[in-house]
Amino acid sequence: FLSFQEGRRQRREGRLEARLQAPGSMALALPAAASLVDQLDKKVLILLRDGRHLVGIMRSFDQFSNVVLEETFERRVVVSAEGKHYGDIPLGLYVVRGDAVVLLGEVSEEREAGPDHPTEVSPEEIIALEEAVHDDHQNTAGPLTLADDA
Amino acid sequence: MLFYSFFKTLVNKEIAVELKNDVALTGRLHSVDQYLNIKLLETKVVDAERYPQLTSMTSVFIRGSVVRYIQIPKADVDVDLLQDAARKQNTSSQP
Repeated sequence: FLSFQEGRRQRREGRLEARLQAPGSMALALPAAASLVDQLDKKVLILLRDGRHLVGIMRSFDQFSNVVLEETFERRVVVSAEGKHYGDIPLGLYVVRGDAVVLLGEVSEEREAGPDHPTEVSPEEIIALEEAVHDDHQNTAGPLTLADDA
Repeated sequence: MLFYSFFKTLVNKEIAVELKNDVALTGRLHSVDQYLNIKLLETKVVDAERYPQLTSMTSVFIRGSVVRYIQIPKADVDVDLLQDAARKQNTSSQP
């Protein structure tokens, strides 16, 4: 609200350029404050309370950890006898509500391609793999859901 | 505010965070905020075999509301000081 008032004051004074604040100014108020500002415009992986993984480019956030994610994909992982695989299902532009967020991590594309990381397959393939494994109860990837009252 | 101040003294120390969904992470504490949201660097997932998809992440922001435990090395905590501060906080808030 304070920044809205500041914006209004500056608009009245006709200084348009003053409204364009540097992204780093958000977190500079407190030196060691945990902030998502370093992850802006970066590829991130968000773990949700319902166990889903969303991958996308974080464009904005707020004090509640609400996040705007561009080029969002739902990353599905299947760990079975055939190995570790993941598939990204395209979803588009997302606004993620903060209370659904468990954690948000910056993705290193180097690590994504690394040996320990599951190998990528197409969306159709991962859905097929999921169904195959679900029928046989073979998925050994851990469940990541959080109860509503947790 | 007390624990926020406490965690600020632990910045740059190695800690382990256990979440309410049972995932455990270790890493260096980069920063903390008033909600006890945590930012960890050099993050490692404890049971990496079960959660292979999380190995792609480097720095991690953890929402304070999903933390179950934070494990800290004993040497980094002055327990007496902490106890003192807690006692002071509790007695000063009485009418």
